[in-house]
Amino acid sequence: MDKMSEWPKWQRWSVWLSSWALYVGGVAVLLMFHGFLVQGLALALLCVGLVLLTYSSKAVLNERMRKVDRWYVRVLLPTFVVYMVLMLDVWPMYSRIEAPWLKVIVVLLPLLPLAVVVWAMVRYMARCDELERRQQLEAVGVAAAVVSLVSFALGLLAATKLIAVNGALVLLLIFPALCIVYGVVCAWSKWRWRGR
Amino acid sequence: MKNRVRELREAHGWSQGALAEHLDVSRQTINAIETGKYDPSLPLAFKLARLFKQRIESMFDPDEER
Repeated sequence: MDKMSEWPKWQRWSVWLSSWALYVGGVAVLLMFHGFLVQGLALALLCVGLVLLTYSSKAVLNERMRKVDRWYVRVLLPTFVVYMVLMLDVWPMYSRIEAPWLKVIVVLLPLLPLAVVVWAMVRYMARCDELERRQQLEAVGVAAAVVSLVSFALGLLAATKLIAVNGALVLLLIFPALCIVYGVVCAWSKWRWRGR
Repeated sequence: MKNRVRELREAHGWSQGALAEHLDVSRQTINAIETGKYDPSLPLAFKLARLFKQRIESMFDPDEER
């Protein structure tokens, strides 16, 4: 797979599209079905999709996977699996726990893999080359600006009772929103700078 | 800033990807430098000069814009 960037264009794009299909399929299975085996299958689909997506996203831009990219995938993949298992199987147990201190621990457990993700992102950015760091700085800036503006707008509308906002849900969505906008801007920036 | 990176790379028979591998940077960084869209930092410019066995001022011309 390291040589994927040398494959014919149609093959690279086919792998890229297939990896999205696997990823979306995994999410759909997770949302629609329950049970240990099905969850395992969905997680496997998601993991294969994520690895293929990482490799093929580089390959469609004629880029090879560097040492730092492979390290990033090696750290993120098990962290992602731990996060999903905690969210799907451990987190829902909080309602059955009596002791408040244990409840707090169980509810906050998903923070551990998220902290590893933040550490990995910081380390990855520090080890990227200078143009990639510039792209990431732009992406982080745009993500912070977009999420701040949207949350400020929601805050203004909610304060004047024009809309009803679920505070807990909004707080939960801030981190994923930051990651999604950052990812989209990063992808757009890489596409813009790809050259021939 | 105008530079001779493409000329020197082609003289060595390297692709952008191969040069990127030598310098441990991405191919898009090499492409951006060659097309004058991005000026490399001093450490990267020195790395390029050392790799091609050139003086840095013979590779980069700050007076000419592309």
